[in-house]
Amino acid sequence: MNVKRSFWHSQIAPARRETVAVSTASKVPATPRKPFGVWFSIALVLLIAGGALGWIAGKRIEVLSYLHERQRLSALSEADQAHTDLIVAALSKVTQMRLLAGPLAKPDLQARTRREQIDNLNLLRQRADLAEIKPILDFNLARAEVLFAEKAGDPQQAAQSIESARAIIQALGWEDSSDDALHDIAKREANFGNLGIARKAQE
Amino acid sequence: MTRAAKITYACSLLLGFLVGFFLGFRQTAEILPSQEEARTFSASESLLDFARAQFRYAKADEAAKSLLLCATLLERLRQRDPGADVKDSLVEIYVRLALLADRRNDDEDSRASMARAQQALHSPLARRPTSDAELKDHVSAIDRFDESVGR
Repeated sequence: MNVKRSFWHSQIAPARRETVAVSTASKVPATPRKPFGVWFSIALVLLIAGGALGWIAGKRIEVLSYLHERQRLSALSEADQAHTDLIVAALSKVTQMRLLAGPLAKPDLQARTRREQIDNLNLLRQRADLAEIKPILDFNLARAEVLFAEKAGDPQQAAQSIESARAIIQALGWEDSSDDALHDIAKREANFGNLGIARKAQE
Repeated sequence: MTRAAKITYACSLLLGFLVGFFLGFRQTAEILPSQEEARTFSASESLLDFARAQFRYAKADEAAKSLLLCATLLERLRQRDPGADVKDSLVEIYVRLALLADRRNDDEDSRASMARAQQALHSPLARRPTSDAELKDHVSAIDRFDESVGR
């Protein structure tokens, strides 16, 4: 019996204690474990955030590389290039406003879109860096004023717009600044965007 | 945070960044040239619209001044981007300048404007050069067409 007990204490009991200790350690981790859903969500959020950051960075780098390449091919100096970019953007906006207030505008909103066009053109005219294209802005403003006068419900406002347009076209050196000449540009502008239809009609 | 978690999170972030970068770069590379082309086209249309109106309505001196302004800006657009398609607008404006000079009986000015028009038109792919008279007829045909459609 004594032999059996001593064998138990010397060989089996320590081994069993180690086994118990190991199994207890594997069941109770040192740091608290998060459920799989939390781990996955964090990884997903990081994936999306990384994607958004990468998208912005990729876009920015491509824009910079495009501008650099264009500057390399351009015959203009960097300052002239920047100034020309401003002019192109403004002229492009003028065409865009012309389309939005004309062929693309809903008939019942035309007076409002013309008013917006006039306000935007006035803002462009006030910019000192666009002084070079002021005559072009003036011409578009005069035309928009005439078209606004045709749609405006208030006769006083219409008369004011016509007078404003007349003053502008006189400054542009037009031979005729009569009401007929003003209505002629309005009539021509009304056909803007209907070119395809007109061409078919002619055929 | 365990080591495995750190690695997983770093990999997610890196993978997202790389995929996002590729997509952002590719999308911008596709859009940017067309956007720029559209912008240049609408700018040149705006200039041509003004030039035609001034040619039709303004006194000869004022019209010539406006046409010269448009031609200068179009030349600058071409210098800014050698691939910009502003040739037709530029040729039309120079021909209109020549037509204005013809009205004043200023042969020298007319010839100089037509020379600029020919220079702007010059294409190594053209089978035969377009004569000055043909160019003037072409611009007159544009005006006649615009009159016929009331534009």
